[in-house]
Amino acid sequence: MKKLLKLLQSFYLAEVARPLPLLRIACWTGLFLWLIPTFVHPCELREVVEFQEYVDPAEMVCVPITYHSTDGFRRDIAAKKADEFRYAWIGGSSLLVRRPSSDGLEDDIRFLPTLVQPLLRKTGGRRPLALMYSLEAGRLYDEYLCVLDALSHQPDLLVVELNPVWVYCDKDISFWPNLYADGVRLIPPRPQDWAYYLLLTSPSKMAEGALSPVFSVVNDRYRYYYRIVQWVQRGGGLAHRAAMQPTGDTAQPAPPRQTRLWTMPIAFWFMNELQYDRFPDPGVWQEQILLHYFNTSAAAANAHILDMMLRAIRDSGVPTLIYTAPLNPEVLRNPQVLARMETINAALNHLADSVSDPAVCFWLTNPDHPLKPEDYIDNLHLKNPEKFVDQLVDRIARILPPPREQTRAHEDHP
Amino acid sequence: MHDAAAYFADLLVLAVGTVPLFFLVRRAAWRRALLTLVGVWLLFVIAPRLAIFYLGYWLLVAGVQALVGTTKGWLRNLVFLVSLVVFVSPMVLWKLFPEAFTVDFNLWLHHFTWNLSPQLGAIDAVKGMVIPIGLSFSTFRALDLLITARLGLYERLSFGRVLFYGLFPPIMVIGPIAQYEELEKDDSLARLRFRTADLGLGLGRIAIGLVKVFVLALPLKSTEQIILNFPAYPPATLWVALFLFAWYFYLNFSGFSDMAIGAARLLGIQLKENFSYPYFQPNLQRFWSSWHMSLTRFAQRNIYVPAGGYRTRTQYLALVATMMVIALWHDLSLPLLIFGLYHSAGLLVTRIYVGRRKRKPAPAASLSGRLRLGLSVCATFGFVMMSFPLVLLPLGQIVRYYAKLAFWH
Repeated sequence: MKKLLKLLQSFYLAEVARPLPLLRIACWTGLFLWLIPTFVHPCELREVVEFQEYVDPAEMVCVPITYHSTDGFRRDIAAKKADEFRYAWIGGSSLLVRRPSSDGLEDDIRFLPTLVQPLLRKTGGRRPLALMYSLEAGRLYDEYLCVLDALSHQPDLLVVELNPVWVYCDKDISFWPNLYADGVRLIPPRPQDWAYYLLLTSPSKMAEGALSPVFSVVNDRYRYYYRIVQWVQRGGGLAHRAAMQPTGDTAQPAPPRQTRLWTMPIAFWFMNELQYDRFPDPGVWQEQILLHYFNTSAAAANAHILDMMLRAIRDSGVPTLIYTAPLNPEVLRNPQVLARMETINAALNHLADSVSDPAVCFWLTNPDHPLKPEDYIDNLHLKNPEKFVDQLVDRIARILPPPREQTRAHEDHP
Repeated sequence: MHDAAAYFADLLVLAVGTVPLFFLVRRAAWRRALLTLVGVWLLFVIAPRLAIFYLGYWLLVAGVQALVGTTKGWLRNLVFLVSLVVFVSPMVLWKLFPEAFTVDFNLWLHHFTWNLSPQLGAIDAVKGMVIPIGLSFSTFRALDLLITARLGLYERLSFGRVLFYGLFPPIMVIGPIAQYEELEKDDSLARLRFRTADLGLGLGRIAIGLVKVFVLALPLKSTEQIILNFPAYPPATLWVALFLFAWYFYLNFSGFSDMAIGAARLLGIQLKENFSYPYFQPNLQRFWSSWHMSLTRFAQRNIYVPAGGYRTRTQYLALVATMMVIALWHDLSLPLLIFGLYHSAGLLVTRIYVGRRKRKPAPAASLSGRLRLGLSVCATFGFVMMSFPLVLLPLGQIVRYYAKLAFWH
């Protein structure tokens, strides 16, 4: 009997009790992850969402959290209401319309998605709500992730703006790795798209995405980070303690020297491959990128990403307008740039021809758009968008189903 | 730009799948292959070109190591010497010309990646510029392997083993400079079994490292900026900042070492310690025996002993040579040369003083003895602390910094 007990005890210690430390570690980790948000609250989400302060959240919700964020898309988007016409607009900084102030005060800032809103007549009486995905320096793969996120919010309409400078630039296919975490919930149903996701995304980003729905502390990671930053800026950090304040030469430090090691990816390749001593003005480098980093071949990464994006749109069945951002006519005066633009149009036309779905419409704006150089603040960003907005509304109206049909389709939804 | 913290975050996430898989496969070769693949993936995440570089680097090390092991006589010596130059030169060039080397390193490898596959090139381009992270550690481990092969201390390692050693994930980017036998000795890899004690110790060690780096060191990071912008601060602030910077430097570095040692322990692999309370040592000799110990051990094996450190006539020369290598490993610059000379002088004085004291009876554990020990610890810390500005500041500012520290305006 004693032997048997001893045997059982040794078995218990060797096999049964063995997982206990693991369990203990898991319990403690879980407890801490649960306790942190109970006692330490993150800051308000609106503080960390770019552009939201400029618009009424009942009219437009800015979805990506882009302000130097470790976070990706906001996850507090309310479910679609019965009386809501929801449309998602994806693009770069060119969605922002900035009218410089004449009296030296703050510029008047508006957004293409809301400028279009009052002119939309085919919403069947439903209240329009825009989900805006405006990414400063947004690139093709980032836009693809935005498309997937937008489609997950059941939009009635999707508008995708492609920046002609970046759409076929295979030197910079992505700029916002903070969006990758959300790929964990967006990419799995699309096995053909896994390869790019796995090649671009780090394991920790995937873990962030996987843990976010489970632990609010992971989901709110950027809001905690932002709170710490605020605390440091308010004087909580060591460098801001009174004893650590500078007393001597407080002259403004010299701006950082532009070395060839500049860390922004495209700037690094641009300066070192094209042998520029400094990163030139946007007008110059955008032109140079169009001329030197340009690949419309079917084997290029950009063609694959565009293909992935189109497949996602087609599978969703959501009416979609894909347009290229109108460039300043000044840029198009350069015959080499114009030739590039024609090649881009040809490649996109080829892509459009491959889409047989009438709900997906392409609009290649360059060079035949109605805007003049004085409507721009630079090569891409607008200050007087009215003529362009009119055309956008017209294009959108063409792809939207008639209101009655749409209402009926909407009624089918629970 | 990728940093060590991001690397360890990825490593720890991958450990969730790698550790069970490691214990599931029993054959040593499979285990080596698994860890090598994880290492390659972690480098790929930083930038594909970095993974390609290190794969090529360690394949070359494996080839040369095999050549050193199979040749004899003058040919062996020639191969050995040429290989030393080949493997040390990337690190030396990087330290001498950091900007030019980093640019060319990235451009050449990026173009190579692009030529392999334009799609891989497009992924690589997204990552932008990367510094050759882990190059110093790789160089020293490669040298250790080649010297061991040259001395015939153990049998020639297969390509798979060399790749496993070179790309062993926990130590790849920020040390410690482990020897091959710390990872595997006489096929010990195949005999490793899952033990919850190892898991507990590994996770505990990683937790200690995380606390050191993110809780204790991170708030002190701003002291670096205070030292760099010293003209704007009063001397008292500079003293406080220097004191705190010494702790930042230690906590940050030793925290990452803890994470590396802990991550290896998850697999049942026990790496040697890299830090052992260096700021609580009574003299400089003991300080260097407890600070970045893997580098000290490397220097001891490959410089101090061959240079005659255990011989009475040559011991001081060997000491200086060892210290200079340790100093210049951090950076090939004049401030680091001064750093090396400063610590060499301190070590020589300590060696002579300790040597004399050994002949006297050891002091009793009395109050005065404890007081003396406390004073020795403070003096050693103060001596070390005073050398840290040499690691941070350019040569032209060093004299002005120390003058300001000494209340001269």
